[in-house]
Amino acid sequence: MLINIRNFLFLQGTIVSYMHDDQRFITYLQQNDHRGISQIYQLFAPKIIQMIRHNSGTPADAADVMQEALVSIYKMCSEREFVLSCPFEAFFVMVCKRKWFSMLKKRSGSPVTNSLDNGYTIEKENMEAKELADQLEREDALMRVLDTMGKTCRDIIRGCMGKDPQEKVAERLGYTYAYLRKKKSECLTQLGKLVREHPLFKL
Amino acid sequence: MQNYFEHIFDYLDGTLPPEEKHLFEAELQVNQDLRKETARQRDLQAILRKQIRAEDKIIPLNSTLTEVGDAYFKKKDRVRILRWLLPVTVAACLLVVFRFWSDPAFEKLPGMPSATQRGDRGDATYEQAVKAYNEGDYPASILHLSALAAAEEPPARYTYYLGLSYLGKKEYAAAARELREVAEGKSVFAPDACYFLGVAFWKTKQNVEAGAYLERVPQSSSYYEKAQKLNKRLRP
Repeated sequence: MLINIRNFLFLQGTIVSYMHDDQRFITYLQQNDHRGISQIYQLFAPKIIQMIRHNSGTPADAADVMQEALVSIYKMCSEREFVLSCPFEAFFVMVCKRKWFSMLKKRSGSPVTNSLDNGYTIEKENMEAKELADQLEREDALMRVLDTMGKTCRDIIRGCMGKDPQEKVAERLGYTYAYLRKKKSECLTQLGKLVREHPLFKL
Repeated sequence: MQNYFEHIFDYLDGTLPPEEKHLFEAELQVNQDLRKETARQRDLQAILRKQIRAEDKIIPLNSTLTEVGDAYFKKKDRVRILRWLLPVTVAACLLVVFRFWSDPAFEKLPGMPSATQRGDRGDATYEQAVKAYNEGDYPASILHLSALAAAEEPPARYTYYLGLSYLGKKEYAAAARELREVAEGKSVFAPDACYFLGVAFWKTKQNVEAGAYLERVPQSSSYYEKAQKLNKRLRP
């Protein structure tokens, strides 16, 4: 089996990660590349539409699911260091499938008529795609949990995790720097507890 | 440093004084729970930082996704509509062509026999009228036939062909006026006049009147079948 050595990432002479050729799809999202994103739709939309139509959905549902999935993927892979180690298709289809399953559950009147694995059985997807999709789901869940917190904690966490220095965040929110740091610790502790209770999120 | 767990955030923020940092790191080596919790908070904050910082770029990305997605899905819709529309359009065209072919020419006028054909002597005006009518020169035939019909008690055929000339000229009200006179009379032209009167009313969308005269066309008339067809079409 021939393997392209350029795809391996090395750290002090040790292979730490393998970059799949489909990394370009991640780059298209990171760079908001119109032509590249069109390519993603051309290549993968037919399969997503087929999977969703097979499970009580419409092409319009497929459009929503695809957009939501691509935004989630972008958020997870937004840092340039992110390395895709599996085929993008396997990862993308799995993310879309899970998002559609979640939407179906919310629509009480729309029972799942077929197995979501029809046509895209787990055997076809590699385990790395599954691990990535699991990670994406956990990250989505974390952000949803954050949104359930009180406004003060939300503002403090969002402010402190942003690009601005904490002194500036304190000033913007009208707190002293010391109070902001104290509240930030409390809010992050509370968030940690909430997340631990979430079935998806086990760091 | 009494409670190490209270200092996890300061340690991760890099704000612990050097001495306390040293103590904290020493504790990390031996305290598994502290190590676990520190790692958990580090991962949690890394995700939060990444997700929250990515949000700044979500608006332009969403805009691109909406644009590309709309273009892709609308194109698919257009293809789907075309796939559906094409056979329907072809069927509609075939139907129109079929109807065109199968429709009798309701307005087709009969020829006007000359006096010689009829065995009459006739006069020059009548022959000019015949010539003009048969050549489709309806203004001229109207001129000659009007002169002939102006006589006292003119033969019904003058009025009949005058009515047909108006029909040929698409002056339906005048055609109806002349043809009604013949249709209501007792001449041999009356049944055919009923048919053409029906046509004149049909052309002016007076379907009730058209139907009434078409129904009066007797089976013996050569226009009976056409009258039936046109009458059927007029019914809602």
